[in-house]
Amino acid sequence: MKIKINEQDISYDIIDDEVIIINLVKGYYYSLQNIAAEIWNEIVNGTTLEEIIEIFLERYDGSKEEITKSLIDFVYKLADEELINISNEQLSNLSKIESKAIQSTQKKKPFCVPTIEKYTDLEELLLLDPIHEVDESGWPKQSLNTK
Amino acid sequence: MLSPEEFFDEVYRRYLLAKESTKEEHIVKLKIGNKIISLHFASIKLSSVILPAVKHLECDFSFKSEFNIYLWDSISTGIPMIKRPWENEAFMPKGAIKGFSNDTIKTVFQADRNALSLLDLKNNIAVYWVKDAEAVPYFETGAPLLGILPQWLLVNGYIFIHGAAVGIENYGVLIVGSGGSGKSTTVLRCLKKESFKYVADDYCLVEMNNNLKVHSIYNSAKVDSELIDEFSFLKNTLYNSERLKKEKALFILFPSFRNRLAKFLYVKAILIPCISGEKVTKIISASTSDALKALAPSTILQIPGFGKESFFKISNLVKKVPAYSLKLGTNSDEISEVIYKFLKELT
Repeated sequence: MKIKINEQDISYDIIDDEVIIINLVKGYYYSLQNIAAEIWNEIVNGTTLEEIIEIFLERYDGSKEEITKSLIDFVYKLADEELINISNEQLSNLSKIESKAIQSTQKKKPFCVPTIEKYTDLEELLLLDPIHEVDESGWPKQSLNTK
Repeated sequence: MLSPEEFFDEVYRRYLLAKESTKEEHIVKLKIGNKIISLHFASIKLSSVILPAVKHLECDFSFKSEFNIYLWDSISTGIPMIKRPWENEAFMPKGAIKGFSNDTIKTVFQADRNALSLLDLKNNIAVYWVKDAEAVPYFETGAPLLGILPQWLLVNGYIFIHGAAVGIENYGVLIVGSGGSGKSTTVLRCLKKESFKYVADDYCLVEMNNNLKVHSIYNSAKVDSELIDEFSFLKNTLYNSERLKKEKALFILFPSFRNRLAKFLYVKAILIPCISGEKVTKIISASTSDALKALAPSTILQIPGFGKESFFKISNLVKKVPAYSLKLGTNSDEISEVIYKFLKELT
């Protein structure tokens, strides 16, 4: 399953292994670190979800079930926040994703559940200012405001 | 329905009628960064509330303008505005008007200040209208033309940012963070110390060449009015002394502080202020991603027309200089000294 970034509504950059994302429509911004940033990188590179799960099973120490579930849950969260574009059909298929068992000899890193750090402190900047009473030509009557 | 171009032309035509009506047209040329911008006012009333914050950038009239902005209001000129050509549903966040902007024309109506801004990026002209110059709120006087200047400057090589800037000699720091993070109080505390130069308390312009330069746009500063006693040295510059119960204190630093205003400084660092709760102010290293988080959202989410391009540019900006956390201590007297020593070490 290929996942697409919501390029229309978000901007992002990857700095020092941290992904900073801003949702230009909602006014939220996000930080992804560690495993969450790695997943984002794979999505950006066009890696399918099945392939991402395989990569992480190979890279991280943890049960197949735990890693698969964590990654799928994370994709749900990205979709919830509208940071990725995913169809309803894809969403309903997420739980059916099967991953291959990986036999790896390389030393694995400990797995921790990927998380999204969400900042909502600036969302009010995108709220519509109320349009005050209008005059006969449709323009608001002037009133002094404080800010 | 009018096209964006037709609406622009009609609003501009009414500017011409307005200046004919008043016979008061006057033109002021500003040098913002390295750009020469002409402000054409149809009446003295409007220039008296728009000019103060940018007057320090006035330049020789013989310079050739690269951008012309035509400003008028209906009450002082007697010229009414055309009937609003869009429905209520067309009002979008940050003043955007659905259906009235395209690649060339940008239409913004800022409802909090009742200001209409029309920008023609192809022909480098803009029109600014308010119904009544006398009703322009103090925060528009402190930082006017936000619906026009940032977008034009962005496509002409600059990044307009939500941030403060101060420095010593030719070097300075950007102080970035959302509203209420301590930018304004920090720069005004620095201004108490003679060696500091002031560039901005809220908005400034960054030029990214080999050396990062921050340029002044507004000579204003705004703080909560309950802090006014701490800044009594600025009392001669207070713009709205009669309205402090309802408004923040707005200081217009030019001309009284003209010797302390720097047109530009070379940026040596980005400071991200936060209240530490400790007595002592400290500056400690921060990450580039912290600087991006402090600067990009608060700029992009409040400046009309800003989006992906400005995010990309701000992201490049924060990679150019080191970032630090400015842990503001309770002993406010020493904040300027800490920043002074920090800057001296960097230079």
